[in-house]
Amino acid sequence: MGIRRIFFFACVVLLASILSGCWNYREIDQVNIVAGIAVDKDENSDGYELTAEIVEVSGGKDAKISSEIISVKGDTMFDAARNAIAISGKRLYWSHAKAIIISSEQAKEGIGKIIDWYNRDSETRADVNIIISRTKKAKDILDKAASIQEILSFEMEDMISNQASLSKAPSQEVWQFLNILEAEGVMPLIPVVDLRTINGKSNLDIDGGAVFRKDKLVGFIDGEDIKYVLFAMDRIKGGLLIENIEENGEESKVSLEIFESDTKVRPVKLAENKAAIKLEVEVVVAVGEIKGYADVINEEGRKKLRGITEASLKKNIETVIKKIQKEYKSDIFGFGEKIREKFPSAWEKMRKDWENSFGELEVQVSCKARIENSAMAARPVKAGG
Amino acid sequence: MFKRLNKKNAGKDRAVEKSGLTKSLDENVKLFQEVLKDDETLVIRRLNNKYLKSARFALIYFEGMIKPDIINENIIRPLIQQNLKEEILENNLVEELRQKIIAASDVFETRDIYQVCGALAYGDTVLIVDGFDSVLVINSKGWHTRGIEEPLSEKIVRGPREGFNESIMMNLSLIRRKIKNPGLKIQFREIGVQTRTKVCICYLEGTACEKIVEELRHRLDKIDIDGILDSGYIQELIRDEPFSPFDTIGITERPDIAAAKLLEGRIALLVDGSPFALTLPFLFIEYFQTNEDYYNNYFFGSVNRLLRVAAGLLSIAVPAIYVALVTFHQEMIPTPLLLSISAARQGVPFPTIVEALLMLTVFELLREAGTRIPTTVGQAVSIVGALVLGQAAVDARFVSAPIVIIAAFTGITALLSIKSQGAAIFFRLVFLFLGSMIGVFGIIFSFLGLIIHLMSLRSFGVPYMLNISSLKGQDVKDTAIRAPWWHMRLRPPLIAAKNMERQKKAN
Repeated sequence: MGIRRIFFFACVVLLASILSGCWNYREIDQVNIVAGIAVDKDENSDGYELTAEIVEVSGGKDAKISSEIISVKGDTMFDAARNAIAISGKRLYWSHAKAIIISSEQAKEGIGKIIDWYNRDSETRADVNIIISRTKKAKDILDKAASIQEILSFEMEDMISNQASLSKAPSQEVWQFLNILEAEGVMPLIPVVDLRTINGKSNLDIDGGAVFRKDKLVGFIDGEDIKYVLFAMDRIKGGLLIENIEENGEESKVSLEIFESDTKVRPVKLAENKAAIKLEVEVVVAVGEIKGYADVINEEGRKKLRGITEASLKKNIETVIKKIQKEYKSDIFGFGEKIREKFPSAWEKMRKDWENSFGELEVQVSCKARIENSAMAARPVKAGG
Repeated sequence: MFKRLNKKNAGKDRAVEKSGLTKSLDENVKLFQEVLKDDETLVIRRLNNKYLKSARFALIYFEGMIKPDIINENIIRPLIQQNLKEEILENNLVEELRQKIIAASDVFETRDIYQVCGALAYGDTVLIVDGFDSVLVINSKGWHTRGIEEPLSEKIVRGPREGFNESIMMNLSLIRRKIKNPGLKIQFREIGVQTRTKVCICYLEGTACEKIVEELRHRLDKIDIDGILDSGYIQELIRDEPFSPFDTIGITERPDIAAAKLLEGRIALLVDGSPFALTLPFLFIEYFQTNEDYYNNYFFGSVNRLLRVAAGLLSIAVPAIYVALVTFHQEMIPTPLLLSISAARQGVPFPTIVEALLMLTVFELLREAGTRIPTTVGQAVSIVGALVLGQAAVDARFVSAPIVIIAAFTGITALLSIKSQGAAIFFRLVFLFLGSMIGVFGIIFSFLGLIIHLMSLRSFGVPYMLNISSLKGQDVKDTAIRAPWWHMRLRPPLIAAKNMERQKKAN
C-alpha cells in the first residue's frame, strides 16, 4: 500500500462520512425511551390525545428504572409524537415500545388510521402489541394502574406473551393486524385490557378479546370464551380445560392441562355459492388436578373423562362460534380465507355478501381428546378406610 | 547518508583484508596488533617448543571469550612439551601441527585475516607459526550463554519445555535433536558489516519448496546493514508487504514449533544472538495455532483454537460494535440491556466514542507499563489500573461502567493472540472510527477492507489466507479446528510443493 493508496483510502473514508446525508447518531442517554403509548380521542377536535409511558432511568451505581407519563395532543399521530418534545425535552425513541393501547371509544371509529403512522415511520416497530382498553380512556390504563414491575407497558407485553399457558386473550401485533386488515375473509381479534381493583389498588388485567369488523370495534368476547375461539383458530398453545365428572353420585372437577392441540379447518362445498366448514379438533391433555375423589385414571374413568372432555369442548366451541356469528357477524376465525384457498371460484361468488353469509355459515365441530398422563401421581388420592 | 557510511566501513574492512600475512612471526604479530589496536582484551602469548628450538609460535585470543582450559591443556601444553623434532616434518609445520599436536575439535588453516578477526571475536584462538604465512584458527569458545529455559513468551501446559537461547549453535542442536534425518540442511551466512552476525537457514531437503529457499537466499543476500541484533531486523528486511500491519514471517522461541514447521516444509531462519527463530512462509492462521493444540486431545485443541480465532476477531471488532450499537442502533439492543446501558451512561460527560478511545488508550498504557517496568514494582500497575482507573473513574462518572467492561474484554481477547497485537490495534482503531461515524455500515466496510487486505497478502509467494477459503477436508484440517492426527495426511500445499504426503494412506 503506497502513499497514494493510503491517501485515496483516507479520501474515501472522509467523503463517505462527511457527505452522507442522514446521520443517525444519537447518544443513548439523550433519548427518551418510549415503553408504550395510549391513544384516545381528543374531545375538542378530531385529533388524538397521545399518552406515552417513558422509561425514566436514574443512573449511577444503584440504577433505578421507573416510568413517567406524558400526555400530548395533536391532529395526527405524528404531530402528537413530535409535540411530545416540547414536554419531555428529548426526542422520543420508539424502537423499544411494547404496547399500543387504544381506547374502545376510538376503536369503534376505526384504528387503521392510528396504525398507519406506526407502521410507516422508520423509528417505530411493527412488532408491537395492540391492546384495546375497556376503560373509557386508554390513558387511564397507564395513569391509574399500579405496576408490579417498574414499567406498565413491559408488564403488559409479558402478560400477553405468557398467555400461551393461559389462553384467555389473543395476541395481535401491528404487522399481524395489518396483514389481517388487508386480507379477505378474516377479521382482527385484539386483546383487551381492563383495570381491576384489588385491595384498593388498580391492577392491569388482560382478559378477553375485542372483535373487529374491518378496523372498527364491534364487541367483546370474555376470557373464558376466547379459549374456544383460539381452538377454532388453531392458536391454542396451552391452558386448562375444567371438566365435571360424576362418580358414585359425587361430583368431582378435573383440571386438564392442554399439551398440544391441532385444529383442521376443512371447507366443504355445498352448492355453487354455498360452503360449510368442518372443524376437526385434536387435543392432547394431561390430568393436572382432581378436585374430588373420582378415579379418572383407571381405564374406565379415563374413557369417561375423554367422552366428557370431547363433548364439552365440542359444545363450547360451537356455542362461541354461534355467538360470534349471531352477535358480531365478524369472521375472526378466517373461515372465508380457508374457503377462498380451497374453492376460489365459489369464493368469487360469496365474497360480496360474506358478512351476511358468515352469520349463516354451517360449522360442524368434531373433537378428539387424548389423555396423555396424570402428571406426577399415578392414582387419585384416596381417603383412608 | 547511512549508505555512504556503510560503504566507508566496508572500504576499511577491505583494507584489512588486503594487508596479508607474511612469513615472519614478528611481522604477523605486529600486523594483528595493528589491526586490533586499542583493544586491551587482546592477549598475545609467545611460546617455544622444548625440543625443536627453531619453532616459534604466538597465540592470539581475546580475554573473556575463550575457555582457558582448552588453551592451557590442548594447545599450550602439547606445543611446549611434545617432541616436535621427532614427530614433525618441519617444512610442513602448520599442517603437521593441525593433524598431530593440537587437541581441539575444530581447527582450520587460513590466510584470510578478515576471517581470522571474525573468528577471534567469536572466541577462537589464532596460532601463528614462524616461517609460515598461514595461521591456524582453533576453536576455544568459552563465552557464556543463558541456559535452556522455558520461553516466557510462549507458555504451555503440555509439551516440551525447552526454548531457544542466544547461542545459534545451541539452538541448532535443539532442532537437530528433534529431526535426525540427514535431509535437514543447515546453511550459514554472515550478515551485518559491523556485527557479522551468523544467520542460519534450516530446511528439510525434499520437503521444503526449493523455489522458496532460493528466494530466501536471494533476499538475504540483498541485505546491506551495519548490524543485526535480533531476528526482528531480518524479519522486517526480507518480509513481503512491508506496509501491512500483519506479519508475513513467523517467529517462535520454541524448538518444537520450529521443528514442526520444518516438517511442514517451512524454512527456519536462526539468527545468532536472538532466541527467536523466524519461520517462513507464514500464513494468517498461524497466529492462532499453538504447539499445544497438537499435543492435546484434538477435540480440546479445536475448542481452544476456535476460542483463539473468535477472540482475535472480537478484539478487533468489539469496541466498534459497542459504540455503533449504543450511538446508532439502539433498536438492536435488547430492552433490558438498553436500559442498563442507558442508566450507566447517565451523567457521563463524554460521548461514547471518546469514552471508548479513552479506555482503550488506558488499557494500552497499562499493558505497555506492565511489560516495561521491573517486576518488583509490577504490583503498582495492577493496583493503579484496576482500582484508580477502573473503579474510581466509574464512581466519579467520568466513564460509564459498560465501556470499562468492553475495554477489559478487548484487552483480554487481544492478549490471547499476542503475536497479532500490532495488527489488532491498528484495525481496532479503523473499526472504531468508522463504526462511530456511520454505525454498523462502517463496521461492515472496515471488515470488508480487512478481508480484502488479508486476501491480497502473500508470504514468499504463498497466499496469506491459504486454505481458509476452502472447505475440503485436507484444507480445513488445520485451520479453525485441529483435525485428529490420523486425518492430517498432507502437508500444506504451495509450501511443501514437492512432497505433500506426511502419512501414507492406510489401506
